Amino acid sequence: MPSQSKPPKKTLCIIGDSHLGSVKRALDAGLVDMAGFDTEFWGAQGPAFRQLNLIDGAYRAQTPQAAEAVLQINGRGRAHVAPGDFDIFLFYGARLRMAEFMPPMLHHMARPNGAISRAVLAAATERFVRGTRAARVAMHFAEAGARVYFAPTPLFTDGVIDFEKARWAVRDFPLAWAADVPQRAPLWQALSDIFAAAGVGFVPQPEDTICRGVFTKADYAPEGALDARDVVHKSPEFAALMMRACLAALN
Amino acid sequence: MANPYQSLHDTAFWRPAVAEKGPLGLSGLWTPKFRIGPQDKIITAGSCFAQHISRALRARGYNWLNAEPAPPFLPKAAAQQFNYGIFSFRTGNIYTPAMLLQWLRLAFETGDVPDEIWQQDGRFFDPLRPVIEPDGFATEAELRAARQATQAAIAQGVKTANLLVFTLGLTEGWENAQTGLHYALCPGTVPGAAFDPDLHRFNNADFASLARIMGQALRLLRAQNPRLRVLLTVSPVPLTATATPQHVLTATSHSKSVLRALAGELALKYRYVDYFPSYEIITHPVFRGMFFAPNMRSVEQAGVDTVMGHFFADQARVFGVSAPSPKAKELPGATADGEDDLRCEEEMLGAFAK
Repeated sequence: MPSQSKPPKKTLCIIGDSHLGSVKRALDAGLVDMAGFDTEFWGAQGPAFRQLNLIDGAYRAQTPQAAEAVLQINGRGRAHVAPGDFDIFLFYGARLRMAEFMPPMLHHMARPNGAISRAVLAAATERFVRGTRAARVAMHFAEAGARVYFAPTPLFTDGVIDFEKARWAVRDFPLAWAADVPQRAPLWQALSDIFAAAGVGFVPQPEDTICRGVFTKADYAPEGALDARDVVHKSPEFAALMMRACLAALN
Repeated sequence: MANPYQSLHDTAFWRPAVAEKGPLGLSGLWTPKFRIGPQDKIITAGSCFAQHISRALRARGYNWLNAEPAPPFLPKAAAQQFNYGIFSFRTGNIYTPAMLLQWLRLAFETGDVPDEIWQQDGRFFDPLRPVIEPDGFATEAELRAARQATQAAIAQGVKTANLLVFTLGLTEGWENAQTGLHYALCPGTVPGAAFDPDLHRFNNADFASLARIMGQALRLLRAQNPRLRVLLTVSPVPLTATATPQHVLTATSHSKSVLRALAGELALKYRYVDYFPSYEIITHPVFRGMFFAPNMRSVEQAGVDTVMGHFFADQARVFGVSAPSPKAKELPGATADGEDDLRCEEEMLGAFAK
């Protein structure tokens, strides 16, 4: 009797900015079971990420610096990605910053005069999402027939936050700090709805990683975060949690 | 003194004050009771024309309070669509004194306001502002939460402000015959409720009842904020339609005359109430209707500019020139601009014209 052949691996492209680093470390450490996927990274860190754009239907680097960053992160010589290049695309981080969205929205909605309808929330959320280039690229890929997911940049890390530096994002919105699951739920739903309408699966930050309304638990700070006052990036353990949520969504 | 007229100023006499000046040379039409400066916190409510006043004040750097700002990220066009930043509160147009008093009672929880929600095609509509959300609310809870937000905004705005600018719009209104709830607009002319002749009652308020209602509203406002002053104006915009047996033109004259008299009487009676004559500047025969659009109803921007020119000139004449406040220009929340963007729900009635 002939042995059953293994199903072919699905090709997965994880597109993002510097947050790809924690995912790479999580995968390298075997914190996530990626069997069944042929995984490739594509993107650029820091300012170079802003130099990636949708040109002639593909996501491409617009400058030599960005092109160099892309090749370094990808490691397989892929200068650009197009909707038909992979079975699945996962946009990870990619500048869709929850720390920019959640605190002002939750603060507003917690005010006595701040209740808003679902329709208003949807309109505000759509503006926020479509204001992020990577989100627009993800939507374009989905429109072109690709299977696409989006995991946003997580909330700032508690215990690391420098309130002076993060004033615009966090300190000015104290009512948001008291938010809990029920208050965040409509925002996650609104984000999910906006992406779903464009054919993109949205993967929210897991609720059990969030504390004090609008922060990621300090447990998920990467090594050296306190010294570097790095409120943005997260540990491989956090990336593993996110990836498991992503895999659950795409399975 | 041969007679008491001899010592009067030129403005007391038609020939030097009006005939020799011409419509665009008039001055001193208003002698304000109190100074209104960029440092004052101003809230606006009322009929469509009040939107012009709030815009002009904002443009001059006056401290117009947006007590119910749009949420972050909401685009300007959407903010306008959802009626944010048009008045100080998200009430929509408040055409009648009865609606003003009803909103104040809700905000300050004084007196009973009947409870009524409209529902149509699975959507929920607020009879106090049925077009505040273009497609209605998704749930009754959502509607009630939104109304609570507006009530809180009114309460906060009234307690915080130094000045309320209220534009009187209509004497004609509709109410629930059983409960007495006053509707913003006639049921059946907007989504949410079918018109029921047994339930929905027309009321063309007379002077005495309007004076009583405005007196109650003013007392309620001052009880919440003893420093609050009130500037009344009368909308010069004619009725879109009348539910009286009169011709709409004579019904307009009746309605506006009653409101004009009411505003004048209130300004005479209460030291903290003033009347600004935007109504006269647009409608008086001296101006020969020059500020009306061809439909003889809509007011052109030139009219608004002339009105506000008188406003600021007369303030400066009496109290001196006020420097704009830079801080006042940074107002929270999205605001809606653009001449075509006035939110006049009463226009809905136009769709029902024969």
